[in-house]
Amino acid sequence: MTHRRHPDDGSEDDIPTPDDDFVLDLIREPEPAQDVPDSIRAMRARRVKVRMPTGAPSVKEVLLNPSEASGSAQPSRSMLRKLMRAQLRLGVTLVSWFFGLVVVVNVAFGFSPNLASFTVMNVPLEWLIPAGVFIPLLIVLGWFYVRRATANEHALEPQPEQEGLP
Amino acid sequence: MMHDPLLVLGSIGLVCAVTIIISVHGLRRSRTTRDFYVASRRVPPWLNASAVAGEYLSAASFLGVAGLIMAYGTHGLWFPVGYTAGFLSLLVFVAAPLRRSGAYTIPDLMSLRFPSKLLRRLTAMIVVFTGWLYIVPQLHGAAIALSATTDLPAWLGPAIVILVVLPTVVSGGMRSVTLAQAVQYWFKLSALFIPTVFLVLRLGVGDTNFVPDLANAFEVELVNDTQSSTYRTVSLVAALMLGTLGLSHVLVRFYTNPDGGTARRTTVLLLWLLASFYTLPIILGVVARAVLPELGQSASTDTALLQLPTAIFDGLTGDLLTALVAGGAFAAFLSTASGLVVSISGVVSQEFFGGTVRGFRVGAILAMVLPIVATFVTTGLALAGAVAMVFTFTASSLAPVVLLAIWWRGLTVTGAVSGMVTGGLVSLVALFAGHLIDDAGMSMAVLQYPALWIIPLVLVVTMLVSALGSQRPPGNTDEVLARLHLPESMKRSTTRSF
Repeated sequence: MTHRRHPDDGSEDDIPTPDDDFVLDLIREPEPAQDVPDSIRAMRARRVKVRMPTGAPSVKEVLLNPSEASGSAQPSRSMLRKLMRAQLRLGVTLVSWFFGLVVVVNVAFGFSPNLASFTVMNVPLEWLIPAGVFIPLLIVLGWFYVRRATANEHALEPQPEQEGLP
Repeated sequence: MMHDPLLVLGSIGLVCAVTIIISVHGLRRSRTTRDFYVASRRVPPWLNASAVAGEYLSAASFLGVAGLIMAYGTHGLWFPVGYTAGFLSLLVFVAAPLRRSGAYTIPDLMSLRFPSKLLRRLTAMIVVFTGWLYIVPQLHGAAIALSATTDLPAWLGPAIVILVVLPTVVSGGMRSVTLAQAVQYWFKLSALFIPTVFLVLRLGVGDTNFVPDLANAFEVELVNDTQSSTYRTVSLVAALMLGTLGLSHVLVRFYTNPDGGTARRTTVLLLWLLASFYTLPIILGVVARAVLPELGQSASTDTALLQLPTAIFDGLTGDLLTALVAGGAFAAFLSTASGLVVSISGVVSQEFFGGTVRGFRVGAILAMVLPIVATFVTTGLALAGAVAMVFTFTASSLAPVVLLAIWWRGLTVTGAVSGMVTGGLVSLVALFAGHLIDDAGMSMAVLQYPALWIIPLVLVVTMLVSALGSQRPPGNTDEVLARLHLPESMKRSTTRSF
């Protein structure tokens, strides 16, 4: 009976040897094969044979075709890199825009005291802009980021063909 | 000055009692080690956001922002902007990957990326040191608040904070602290909101006895050198924006989110909560500039909020409002201090006691000892100024390496270690040198606010050492990064940790 392994499992062998006394308990290594009782091994083999998922199924897997969803759930390395680049570009753009605006406003006020003391509703711009513009702007940027970042992640998920049908 | 110290003491006592009651309640419900550490990750976003805000709004935010606006005018105004902007950087760079990593502390995140004991230890040392530095202004704040509102000796303030925080954290752990923190945010908000409403109503009625000349408030004492003041503000915002990424007591909170998506929603809610809160000390600080102009010249501007109510309202109203503000200030000291103690003890416990609850308790006691000593040794720095220095330190030492660890595949252990050491040492030297220099020109600004040049320096050092050094990134980098960046729905169940 052939035991089906996930294509990525083999790459765990590349991990360099850690410091001798270093114990990493965050990623749990699977138990060594000889420690697993025969009965459990037999059950595992059976489970693989009927293609039972190893973890709790997601709602998507439950609702849609389970074999399709479990087969394509792990995206490829290039897709991961694409996602990371997209998310990083989004984050860096938003933060640099914000910080750039802080620099521009401060330099403008530094060069032109008249601009800084120009009043709107009796409040000088120098006071109004940090408190009245920058802090609300942060909420808008945050909201925008969550929308875009979530969309980037959704773009990566396998598109089930049934989507859109009743 | 205060006429009836009993009101203030009653209000502080009430805050302490509520904190203790909630933690005792939490103690009964907290059963497993998991409950104890991360509240079993069942905390919904709104509660978590309130808890992070409760934890984050420290003495520097509650008393310090108004104090800095009193002392420096518009320069002080950029502090709340930077404090809030820190959570934008946290949202876009750290929130979801951190939660998905499944790590509890920053050292955990580092050891997930790199199998190096040295790097882990170094990160842990920086985290504990930052926590110690950050507790000091909280204890200072407690001393200031108590001596400004009552005739009691100043040391009693820090003593109250320690006596409430230590038993709470040691017995209840994280779960109780989560609830207590959330309640404290709303209490802090009310403690400033109610006085602001009273003030606005009084202004609206147009009471002839009280017409502060707000035009005076906006007069800025022109700093002699505009170049250095522009640099100072920009560098400050940079430090506050990135410094938040290295605050372990804030990051710990993200482990209690159910998944990466909720971690993001928590952060956006947080931006709302922080923005609403900071409006209040800004308004009150501006009014204080108009009403208490003589205080602006003195060294104790941090007491501005505590003196404002009695300066505007006579009799019982003034006393009650002062008591309310003092209670809110204590809520700020208690919540930030307990958050810091939790995060320091978490690290100490994992590093030296194999992650046991007993180690957590020992760590909590250790976490309080050094700051108590430091509080009595250091002289009165402005609260928000002292906290800005802590932000500069974390923005230089931890933040660049945390950012690269999450986003850059090429980071190596040597690169990370050299970045942290460079950032930590250079920022400490710059901050110390900056406070020794008397000259108020550009050189002092560059040394006292070094974030603008240290952050790029550390990024360059870390990346160059990683790229040019002989060491290669760990072979499992891609898998770890996949775990950090892929949504939970796409992960194999085996990669999920506890």
